Amino acid sequence: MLLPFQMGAAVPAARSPAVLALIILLVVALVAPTFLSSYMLRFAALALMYLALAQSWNLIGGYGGLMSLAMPAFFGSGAVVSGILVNSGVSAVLSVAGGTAVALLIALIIAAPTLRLQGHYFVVATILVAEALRNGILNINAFGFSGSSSLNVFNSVGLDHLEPRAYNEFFYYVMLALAAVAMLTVFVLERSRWGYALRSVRDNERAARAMGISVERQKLYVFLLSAGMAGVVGGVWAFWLGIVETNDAFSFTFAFDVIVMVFLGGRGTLWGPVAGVCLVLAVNEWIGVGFPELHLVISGLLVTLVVLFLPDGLVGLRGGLKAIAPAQLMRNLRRYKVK
Amino acid sequence: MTLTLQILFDSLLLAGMLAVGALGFTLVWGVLNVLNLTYAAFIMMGAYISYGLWHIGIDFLLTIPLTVLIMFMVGWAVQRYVIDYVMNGPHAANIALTYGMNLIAVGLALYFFSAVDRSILVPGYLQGVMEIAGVKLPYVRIVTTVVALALTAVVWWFFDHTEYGAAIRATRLDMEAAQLVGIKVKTIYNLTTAIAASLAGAMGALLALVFSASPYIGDHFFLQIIIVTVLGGLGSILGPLLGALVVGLAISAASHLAGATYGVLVGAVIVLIVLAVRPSGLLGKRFYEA
Repeated sequence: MLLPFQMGAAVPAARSPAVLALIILLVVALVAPTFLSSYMLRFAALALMYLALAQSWNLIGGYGGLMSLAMPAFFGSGAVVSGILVNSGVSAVLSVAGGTAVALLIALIIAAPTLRLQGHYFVVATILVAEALRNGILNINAFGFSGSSSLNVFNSVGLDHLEPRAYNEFFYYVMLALAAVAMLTVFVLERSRWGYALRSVRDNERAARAMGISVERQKLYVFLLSAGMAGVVGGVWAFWLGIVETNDAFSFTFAFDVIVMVFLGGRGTLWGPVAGVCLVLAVNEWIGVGFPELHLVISGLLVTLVVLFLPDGLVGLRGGLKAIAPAQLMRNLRRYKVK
Repeated sequence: MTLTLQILFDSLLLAGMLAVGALGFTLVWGVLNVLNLTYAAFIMMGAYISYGLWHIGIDFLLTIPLTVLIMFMVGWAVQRYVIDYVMNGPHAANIALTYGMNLIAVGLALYFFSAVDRSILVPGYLQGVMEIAGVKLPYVRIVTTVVALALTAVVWWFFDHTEYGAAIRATRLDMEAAQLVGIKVKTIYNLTTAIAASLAGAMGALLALVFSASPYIGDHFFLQIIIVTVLGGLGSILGPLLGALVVGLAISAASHLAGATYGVLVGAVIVLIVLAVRPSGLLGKRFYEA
């Protein structure tokens, strides 16, 4: 049985502009900490974390076409399990690995019943899984771990001797690594046979099946991959924060923020999530400082307007200024209108 | 025995309100095939409208039909001017759009009303508790349950005995066939969302009395509504009722016996099992492939 990553070699892309852009960005990101203020450093690290999460959702929601809202389950279990492990004396790296393993296990368990659901039922099932897990963990009170109280991992991670700036710099680089891996994964997937198989499943299941592609396997693989990435980010996030609060780890806020970012930027594209993360965080900063009470309203307005007028997200603007000409916007508006 | 009866009666109250809410939600999902996340906002708006009307002196029981009327118009407008534009698009589009609108609504509510809970005080003629077989039944709860059941009966009558009801059922069964017999699908969509919004508003009004109106009240109950809808199944009026009964019982029993947080967990697990075994729900019929 061929595993997906064996199925095809990536098209040689050494000269493609995307590779150049990625390399330039990586270099910039590597040297950035020397120029950034402490506040901007934290902000950048947060942005990188969101980028990693966004690409993980982009895999299943954009390339896979499955509107999964189960991310809180994987992110949260990654965070909580890593926290428990590191507090029990396991090394930090192994703890994150353990957290990811548990997230993958959960994904494996729920994959079979949920992935065969169609349409809205799938979305609802993923919501329910995340909620059930959250409530389940809130109720756990065993092995010295109480789900309803927060878990302090700061002392166990082994970084408490660092100055705040060095601490944030450390996590900046970790998040950069995660984001880089996420971007690389999407980049490779876009150009590999696996990526084509996945996208064909998204676009027309029956045709894909007729071509011999195993629809169930494709969905399972992308589901697991997305879950694993979310789990890793969850574990690292828990260590960075120093404290694991079940309700925060399993909250839907992360998931919706990430989904909005991917939507705004453009689902199913490599650069969409990058644009989306930048835009959403920038808007949050701007309104958070200027109009904090209207935060939700402006976010909601942004989502609504983008879905109505720019359904392909910001990457649709690549067509240049004529992509946002009023005539084009009105055409976009009417594209999905009921007759 | 008393505990059992208490659980039973408490669950009836919860079930009543959830049934009203789920009925509307099931309508939108079943007829329009839209997962309308704005529904939570409709509930919240209903709660605030009812509170506002009560605040200016209108008797609570009278606020219910007024809220229903106002929410009817709101729902129609929302469908006609916003949701209509993503009807033919991918599912993710309507989920994202309705989520965005929900954010706007909650944000506006937070801005204008702040997060303070606002409660409608129980009117004089509803105060008091009835005691049957050692179980305490506050009059408030009895009345709210009766109102919820009455609303459900009205909706059922509407669907069974009027032309518009038949038209909506026809659209739900087969949109293209309905168009062929001359039903204007756009109007049906507007009507359905309007009815759903008014039901949500009614649930909100009841919630404002029994609990309190807050910007997050819609989101809070929305998960339970989803659970009830999936459990009961799309495509029937009785479905949400049955689902509401089961969920009400499960949540009430779990809360009494084990603590409130177990309530939602039990509900979610039940529904997940149902989804795995019988995705169309207890009384549902599969009208849509996707």
